[in-house]
Amino acid sequence: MSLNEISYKNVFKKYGDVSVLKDITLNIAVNETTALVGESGSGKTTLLQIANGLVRPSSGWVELFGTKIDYGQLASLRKKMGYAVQGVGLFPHMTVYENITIMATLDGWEKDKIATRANYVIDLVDLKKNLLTRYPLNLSGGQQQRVSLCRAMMLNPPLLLLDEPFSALDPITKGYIHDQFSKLQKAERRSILLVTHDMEEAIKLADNIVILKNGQIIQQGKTDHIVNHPMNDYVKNLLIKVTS
Amino acid sequence: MTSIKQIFLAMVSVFVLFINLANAADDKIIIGSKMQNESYILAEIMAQLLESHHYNIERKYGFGGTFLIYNALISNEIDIYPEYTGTISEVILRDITIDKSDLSIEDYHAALAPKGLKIFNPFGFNNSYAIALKKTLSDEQNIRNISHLKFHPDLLVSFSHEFLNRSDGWLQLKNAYGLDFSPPGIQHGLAYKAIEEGAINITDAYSTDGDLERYGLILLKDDLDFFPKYYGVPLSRMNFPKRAAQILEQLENLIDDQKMRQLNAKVIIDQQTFAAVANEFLKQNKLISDDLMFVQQTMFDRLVKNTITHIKLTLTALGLGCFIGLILAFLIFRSARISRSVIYATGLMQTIPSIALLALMIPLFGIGEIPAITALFLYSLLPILRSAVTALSTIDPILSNVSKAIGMTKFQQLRYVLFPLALPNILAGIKTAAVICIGTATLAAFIGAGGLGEPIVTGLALNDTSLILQGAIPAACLAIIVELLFELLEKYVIPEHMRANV
Repeated sequence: MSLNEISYKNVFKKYGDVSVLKDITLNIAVNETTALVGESGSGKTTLLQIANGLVRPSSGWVELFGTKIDYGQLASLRKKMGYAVQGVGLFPHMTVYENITIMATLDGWEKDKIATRANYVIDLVDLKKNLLTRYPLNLSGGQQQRVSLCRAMMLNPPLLLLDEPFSALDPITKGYIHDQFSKLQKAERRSILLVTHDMEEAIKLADNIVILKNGQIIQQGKTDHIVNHPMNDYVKNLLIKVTS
Repeated sequence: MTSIKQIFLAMVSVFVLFINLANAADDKIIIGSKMQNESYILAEIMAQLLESHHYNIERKYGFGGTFLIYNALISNEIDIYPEYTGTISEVILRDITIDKSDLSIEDYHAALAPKGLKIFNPFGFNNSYAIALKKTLSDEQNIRNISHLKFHPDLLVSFSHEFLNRSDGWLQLKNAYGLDFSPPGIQHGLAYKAIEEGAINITDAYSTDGDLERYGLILLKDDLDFFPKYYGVPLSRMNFPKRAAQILEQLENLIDDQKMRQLNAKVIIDQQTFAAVANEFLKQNKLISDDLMFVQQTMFDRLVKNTITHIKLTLTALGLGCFIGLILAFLIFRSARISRSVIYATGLMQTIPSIALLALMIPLFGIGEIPAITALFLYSLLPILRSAVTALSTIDPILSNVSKAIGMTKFQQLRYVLFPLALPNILAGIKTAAVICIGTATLAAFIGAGGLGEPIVTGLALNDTSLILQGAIPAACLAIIVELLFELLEKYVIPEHMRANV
């Protein structure tokens, strides 16, 4: 068994003549939270989407759970990767409960099993039960984000891919959800790849931090190490913004 | 290409077959007529005569022209219809090179047999071109034959434009009879009025024209036998049931020129129905018993029958349109370039005028329901395809990404996310297609497919506005009902916050 949930091997990604990722080799550790931090255009979202096959590398390859991605088996592979995204991406034509349980239903889970698991994740994120029959439209941003997390955790996947899931929230709600996120990680320990442009969020939630700039890795390491030993001025600047 | 056509043809046929299975009758005879007063009357006489002998008769009246009704006959859409010998020799036997100047009934039998067709003995009248003038003038100056005109160079002569230009019209008549007039052209409809007011004395006419007597006109005898003969005859396929044929033979020589003129006048001038005129004629000739009431189709019966046919045509075409349009949309929406070209191609189809599209269907599919349904299907395709492709390709990319990323298969993405999200716009497209179909289907009557276009076509033939409205108003109502039904459907299948605000 590998200790790496995701391994990027010499990954390049080009759109036409524009290089988005340049020779990324990176391991994402099992059962830890790894944050990909960078400004917009740094390639962090592309790097995440290469992990679940939404984007394919121009060259290089990716190993998931110790084996190279089989692009013919993406659908079943993706069920082992919960996914939540900025802008939430809840299906507007389904109720909150349907949004959370759709994949379990499609996978043929029994009703009881679905209800038990759904109730468990709903309680984890403190979502009120009376919201379950509503449509996403009628929920606040924070509520929607929690539904999105529930959906990502529903199948109890070993890996979560989170693409700036909290960036649209107001500071108070964000703080609250951050606390719940930490609680989740204690309750059901899993590997998490978190994309964010917010260094403070990364420090608060992640065990490891990877700093990206213009498609290249500037620095990676344990969170403490990065905070105490920023490699260069770029990283220092990111940290200054947090402390100020 | 041909295999695609064959597959499509097979699909349409199966559709139509299923629908027709319900009303497939055992010993039915289908009688056709052209879009002409006289043709309607003769067809109705044959229909009622056979009905009095307990035949199950279906009436398919109002075909737009010889070409259409002839195609209907050879493709078993109808079994028999009234035709003219002159038309048979000029149009139907066009490809046969024989001397057509003086054909006997036996000649016609011989020429039609290779085509699997036969004619019956003539009804008696000859509906050819003729020369008309006031009876009073004829009596005063003793003008009885066309050859007499030579001695009256002072008469005011005017002919219809068609007669002036036809090869068997004035140009030849003038030579044959040695006449020396320089007649100006006049619109046929105005010529009789002009005679009544003394503006002209002589004009051309049809020998069975129902208006002649009303204007006190008589026809000059064609003493040189110049005009080709247009005897009215029933035309059928060889396999027409023998017993039914014997019954129809009773009509032989029963209707001379004057009788036909009277029958025409009863419809045109006295505004009687075809059914009533035919019934009265049959009773007078003791062909049906006096107490036998003719089953006059009431307006309501006709309305129901036409509406059902109309709905059948529209629904079949729309069903095919949805089926093929949606499958096509699902296949192509992911590629912007293919979508654009397919939508462009179906858009081109839409620019073909509907009556022309129907006409274009005839060489491919013959006449009747199948070409009509095919044409309607092509019309419904664009709105369905375009709305579906547009709706599917403009879905929020976050949602389509999420549907992939949470592990849905391609089919599940389509079934549970893309299709429901696109549904409001897809339904709007289907609604547009349905309304277009209902409107366009009124034209289907021109190629013998029936429906609410039938009273419209007949009304156009008879210049009868009320008849036109009998088709136009129900068609409009049908369109409104369909709109309302779709609104109900939208309420039922689409959650309130997802409904398009149109």
